[in-house]
Amino acid sequence: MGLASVSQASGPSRLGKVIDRVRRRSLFDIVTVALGLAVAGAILYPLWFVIKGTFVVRGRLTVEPFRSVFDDHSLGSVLRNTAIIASTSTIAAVVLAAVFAWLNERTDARIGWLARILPLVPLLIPAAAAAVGWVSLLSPVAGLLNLVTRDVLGALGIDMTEGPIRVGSMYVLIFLYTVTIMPFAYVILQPAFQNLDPALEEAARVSGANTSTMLRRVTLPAILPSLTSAMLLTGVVSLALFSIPMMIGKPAGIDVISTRVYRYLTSTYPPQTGPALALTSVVLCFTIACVVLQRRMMKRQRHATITGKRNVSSLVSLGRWRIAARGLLLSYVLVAAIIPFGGLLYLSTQKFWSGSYSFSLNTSNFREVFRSGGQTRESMINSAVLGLIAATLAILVATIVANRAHRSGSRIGRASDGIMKVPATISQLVLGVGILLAFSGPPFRLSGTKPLIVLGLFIAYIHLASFTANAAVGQVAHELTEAAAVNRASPFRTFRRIQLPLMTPALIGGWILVYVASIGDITIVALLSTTNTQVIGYRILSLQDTGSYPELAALGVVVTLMTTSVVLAVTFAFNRRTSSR
Amino acid sequence: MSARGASATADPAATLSDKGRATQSANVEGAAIEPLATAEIHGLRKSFFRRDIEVHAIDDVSLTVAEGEFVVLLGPSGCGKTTLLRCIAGLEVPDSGTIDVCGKRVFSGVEKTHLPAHKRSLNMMFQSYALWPHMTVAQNVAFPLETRRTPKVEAKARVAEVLALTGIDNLADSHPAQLSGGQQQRVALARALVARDRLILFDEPLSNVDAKVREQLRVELVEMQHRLNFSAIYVTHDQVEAMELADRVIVLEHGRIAQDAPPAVVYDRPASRYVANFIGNANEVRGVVCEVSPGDVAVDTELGKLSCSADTALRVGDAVVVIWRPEFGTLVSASEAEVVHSWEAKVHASLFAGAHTTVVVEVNGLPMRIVTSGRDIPDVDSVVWVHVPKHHLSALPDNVTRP
Repeated sequence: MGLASVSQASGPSRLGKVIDRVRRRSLFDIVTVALGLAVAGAILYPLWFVIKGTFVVRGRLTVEPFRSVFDDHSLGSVLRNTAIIASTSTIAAVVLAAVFAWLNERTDARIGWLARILPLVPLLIPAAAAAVGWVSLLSPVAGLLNLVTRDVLGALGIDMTEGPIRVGSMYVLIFLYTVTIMPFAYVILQPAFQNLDPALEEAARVSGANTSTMLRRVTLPAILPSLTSAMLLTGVVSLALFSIPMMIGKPAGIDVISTRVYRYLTSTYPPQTGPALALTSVVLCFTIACVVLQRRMMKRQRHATITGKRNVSSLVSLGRWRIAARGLLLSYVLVAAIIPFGGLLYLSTQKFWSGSYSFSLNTSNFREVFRSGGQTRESMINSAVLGLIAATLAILVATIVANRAHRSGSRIGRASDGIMKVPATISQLVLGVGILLAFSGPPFRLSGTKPLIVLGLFIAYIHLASFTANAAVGQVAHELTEAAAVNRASPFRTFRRIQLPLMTPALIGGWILVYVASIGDITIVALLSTTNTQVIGYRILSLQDTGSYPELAALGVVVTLMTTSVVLAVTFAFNRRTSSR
Repeated sequence: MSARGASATADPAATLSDKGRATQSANVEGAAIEPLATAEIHGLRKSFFRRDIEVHAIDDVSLTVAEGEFVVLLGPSGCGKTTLLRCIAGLEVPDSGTIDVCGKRVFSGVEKTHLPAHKRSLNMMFQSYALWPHMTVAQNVAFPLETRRTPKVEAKARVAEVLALTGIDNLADSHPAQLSGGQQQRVALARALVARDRLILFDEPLSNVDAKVREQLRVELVEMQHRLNFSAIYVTHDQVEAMELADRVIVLEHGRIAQDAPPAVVYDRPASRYVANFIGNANEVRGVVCEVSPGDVAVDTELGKLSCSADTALRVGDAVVVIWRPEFGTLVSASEAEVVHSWEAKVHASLFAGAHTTVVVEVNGLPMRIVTSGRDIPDVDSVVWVHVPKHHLSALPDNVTRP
């Protein structure tokens, strides 16, 4: 805003003008802007290090790295694999998320508290752990499901030595991608359905529309902005996903962009940062388009906003489909969490992983995981604490910055809000390298410290917080904040008393996303963690490397119980607060 | 006389309050302070671009709202009334002009002063009520006191008082989502009143509730304003609402003030055809001015030569429209018919509405409506005589388009 609250004669010098402008702003404004600038700096500084390292070789500008990428003939299959997996899994995940959100929020198929938590279930089990679970079940030779299936088929006279399902196939990869990224779409779509004015649907009903016409003509258009947002966010996550292809695709020879970038960065010394970045630019272009699109949509229309006039929703009766709908909801929990967790449990109780199965309970793996002074134990404690700090910081900062970007339309606010989405676009590996290069040496000297890991997780996952915070900010109707303003509430008080409480449901979703991402992360910590500052992701990679699958499974079980308890505790605490209203 | 004398109206009738509010206000606490304008606006302009076309939302508007005065901004959607209100509240920044609230300069285009909304001493009631869904009724209403750092004990007492005043003391612990539209309305009103601001803005606050509740809330709002003696600027597109509530009605047309006068004056002596047609029904007949005398003109029309009152300066030969309100016409028998301003008419239809009946007649092919409270309704197709007293005929320049 060009106009100042207090008119004072400003000094003729430029510095004087700047000081004058700063003095006129409230403390909250200044803190907000400073925070935005600090975050933008923390994100851009490492990237600058990486880009400089890519294009400047021995002090000269060069395109050499790009040429080497395009000389690599296997790149075609990498791009093809990535495109197929990312597009199919994104569409499947968004459709599934929309169906789930609708069933949970607007129909009589909802199953109380279960309905609310259910789509968060895959968040409870980190993707890397779930991947290990699926490996233990579907490994061609030793996978439990394959073993059992072969036994049954053997009894029928069909003899096989491996299979019938191969964990490292495209179908299984797409399936696991979909299951893994679905919650990212759900956290955006659920509030959209929850806050959709039921009068819209009721109006369609009384106009003679049946359920499918109503969904097609009224509900869908009304949530279209959220649907698009969900599509964009999920697509970006799908492209950048590393854990599933690393644990499952790579051993089977299916390379995607993220695993190929990882190879460029880790299989040689010194790392091939140039080609890695060149490959990442594909992802970058896609994501910039996404950010621009989402911003346009938000500007053009805000269909599903919370108005001051809120009504109790009426639920759609599904009739005989209700049982089927509930079955769908329950089967998802089964596939996304219970089955892989079962696989983890089974493998964690095996002393050795062999071609035959026994259900003897062996606790040696768990004893190893919890061994006092053991590396695995230390890594879990570190992850729990560092993840908590990173997630809380991320959601707070993202909310404050998103709020500024939306409310005042300030350039600094919008710019830093946009920058927070940049990490989603950069492969986390590249980001990790950048952070390592930028903050290890002087003047920061954070190499091998816990603050470096917190900073890394914060930078790598702030975009999750930012996307949720933006959706949350956009959902609070302008009149609600204006009503606070005319009641003499300062911008800070309006934020604290009105916007923050109203955004809390969405923000809790965002916090959980960042926390679970941090705990389950193996990409960033693979680079930033050292044997002195071990975290779970680092430990998982070293256990996979040494082939210690039973202990890896035991770690997976413990991590899953860890994240589950946090997510459930937070969700229940919040549910009690809302239901008491 | 009340502070209303300071208002910008030209007509002497403006100082006469039909509601007797002038005598009341002297008794109320706060009126003892020297009467000063609670809102003063000069030369305000605001335009914005909609699809690259410049729209003048507010086009050189000046107005003054006196202590304890109830001013209604009336006009169709898109006339700039809500933008004007939001500029006064500080929610939008005008391009130029000045705004003073309670004697304090809150906006000046020349001095580049813009006090943000939370630093202005006023309150506002929103069209959607804007109740905070995460707070109880009591918390919603207590918020304005919280921001003013009112001591807790006093705040509690005042919340209880205003909840009782608005008749929702039994709902204090409910959340807005549990309330009916009318109840939410009252909460919004209570929240606007609780801090006892001298100026309260209303942005079509009654447009979302049903007619019966709306009528009752209007009565309560007028009573409340009597009692608390705040100044109100009230935006509406409902002319009946405007008439009932206002000490003064300001009719807006494309961002400009079309008329600024007490309701009775706006109704009886509309400044233009736009105003006449926007407020109530009017019978019209076109004509040409043939004689001019002070405050009086004679007009040649299809109905013969009519002598009418005219507030605007008219010259012989000007094209005019003569208008009169349906209830000022009377149906008489042939023997009662006077020489002037009486015409033979044929009855087309009669619409009985309980309190009154609208009779549609035709004079020389010209349709005309007469509203009568009598029960002596002529039969359809019968022939009657219509009479309109001279002082109820107004001649207005025929150059303004209909709203």
